[in-house]
Amino acid sequence: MDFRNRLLVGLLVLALGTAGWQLGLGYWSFKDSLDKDLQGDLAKYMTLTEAALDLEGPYPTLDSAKLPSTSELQGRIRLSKEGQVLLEVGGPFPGINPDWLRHTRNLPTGHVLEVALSQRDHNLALRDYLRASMVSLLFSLVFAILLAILLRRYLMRPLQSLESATESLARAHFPEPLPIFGRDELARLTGSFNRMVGKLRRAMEREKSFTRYASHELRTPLAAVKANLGAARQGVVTSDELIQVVENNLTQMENTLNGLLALARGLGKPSPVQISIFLEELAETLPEAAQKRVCINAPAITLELPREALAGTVRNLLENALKYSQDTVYLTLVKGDPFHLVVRDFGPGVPQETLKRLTEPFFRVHPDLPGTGLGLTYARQVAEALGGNLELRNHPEGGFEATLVLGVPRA
Amino acid sequence: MRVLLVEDHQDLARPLLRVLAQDRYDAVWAKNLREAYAHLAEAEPDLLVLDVMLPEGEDAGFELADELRTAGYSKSILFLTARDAVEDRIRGLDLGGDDYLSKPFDISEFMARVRALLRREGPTKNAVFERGALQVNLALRQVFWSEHEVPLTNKEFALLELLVLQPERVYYLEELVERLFPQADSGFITVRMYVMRLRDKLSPQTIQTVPGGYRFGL
Repeated sequence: MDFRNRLLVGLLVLALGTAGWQLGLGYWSFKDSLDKDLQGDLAKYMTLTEAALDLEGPYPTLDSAKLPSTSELQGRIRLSKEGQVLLEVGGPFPGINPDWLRHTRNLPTGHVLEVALSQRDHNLALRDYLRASMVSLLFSLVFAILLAILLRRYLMRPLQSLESATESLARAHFPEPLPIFGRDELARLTGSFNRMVGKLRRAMEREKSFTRYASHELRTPLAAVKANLGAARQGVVTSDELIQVVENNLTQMENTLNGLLALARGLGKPSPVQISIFLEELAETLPEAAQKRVCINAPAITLELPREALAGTVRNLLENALKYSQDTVYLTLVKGDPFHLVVRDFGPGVPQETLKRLTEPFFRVHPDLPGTGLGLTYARQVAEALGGNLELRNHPEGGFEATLVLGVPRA
Repeated sequence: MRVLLVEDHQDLARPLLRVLAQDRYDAVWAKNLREAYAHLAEAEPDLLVLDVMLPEGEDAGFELADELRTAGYSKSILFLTARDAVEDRIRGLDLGGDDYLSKPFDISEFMARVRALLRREGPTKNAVFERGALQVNLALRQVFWSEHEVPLTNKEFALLELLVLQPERVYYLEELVERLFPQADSGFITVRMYVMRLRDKLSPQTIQTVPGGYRFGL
């Protein structure tokens, strides 16, 4: 049974239970009050009968002037002694019969006085009451079913659209945003569902675009090598040209693969890093000509950082600066909270409109120059993972400035 | 036959251009959209080989194809791309691409597809065209007259190929100049010279002169 039908049945049972309960309670209280009345009447009748009884004479007599009319009350009286009936008034005394309410009293004279009152009318009234209640219960049932169906439709409408939207999401089709009715829990649920779909869609698009670019960046050099091999076999590409092409494209593929792996691998464990020594050592791994152009200005402080990831990031920023400028590149650590690691060059900077796209994977301002388009993406990922960010700008006084904001505590 | 290759990766473009040239196609290279527009303005290519991801954007190739088809370009387009997802192929073909080759590919397959697409232009669907004593092998780029191979230069072959691909069609002088010698200063004279050379090497009837142009004559 699905959720809707369970809800429907639950509602029905609840409505029926309430109606039945009310019916039972009404019947019981009606019967109780009738019973009490009748019992009262019977007791009174017994008392009156006893008073009207004359046991003095040789035969017991009943002064009917002292009694209410038996026909009106439909009462019966029987007086007996030692199993012998002495007096019977109103007709034959009834036996055990649901239509009659009987009362027996042993008199001090040894007589047994029995009185009975008809409860036929009383029983009929109860039966009528029960019948009327059953009819009304039936109507209530029909009404409850109708109401439950309407309610189910009304309550289920947002759930139904959510259900079909979730189903289409599960089949990797992104549903259109669902309309939101009202301001209740379902409306909030629908709202967060819409937001979730939006985020998922954007993440999927980013992922798709990333895969497209990654496949392009890896397949293009592969295609170049393969095409050159084919052309060399046909004798239109010399072996020197072939070697050059293979070398260039292998390097490009290797760089792209390394960049992709770095993005996928994550940061690694932080350890205490003495910044000034770390930066000096890093600069020493650069080609000699480049080393001479790097000017490091960092205090001797120790920070808790993932060494490999930081080295990769700073190296990317330094190599960019060295590639796009001819003069000295300044690498400065600015103390503060948080720490800023600034790489500044005096090159031409980048076109202002490309600034925002610089950290997109595979984006390259100069596609003709060698590069993977992954360096700044990696730098931003590392900075964000460290609780900071990467700020890139064309310096107002010329050149380009990359600032790695490091949200890390001092070791 | 003029082939325009739009491909931003030089290491890939070079071998393709070389094998195209070896097979006597007039192959020109554009490494971005800007250069592609310049070459397109110069002369309409018989085949456009188009990379999808260009420096101008990840869908620049698709956009160029769409633009050209809208503008009325009716010749073949071969997409050459690293993107091999089904939706990319569908998009490429829906935008008016005639074929789709994903990287990396075999250079001989590339050439086979180029030939197939160029043959599609005319009624000649076979790789070998035969009429009278003339036999032209469009795949091997060879010409035989009475079963003897006749050596032709690239331009001579290109002219003959153009004529045999649509043997019933009349080519006006202006069109031949535009398609075969777009950069020549005196194109009309050049075309006439090549017609004469072909008539010399094959037979005078091979090319028939009609008012304003030429047609295949056998």
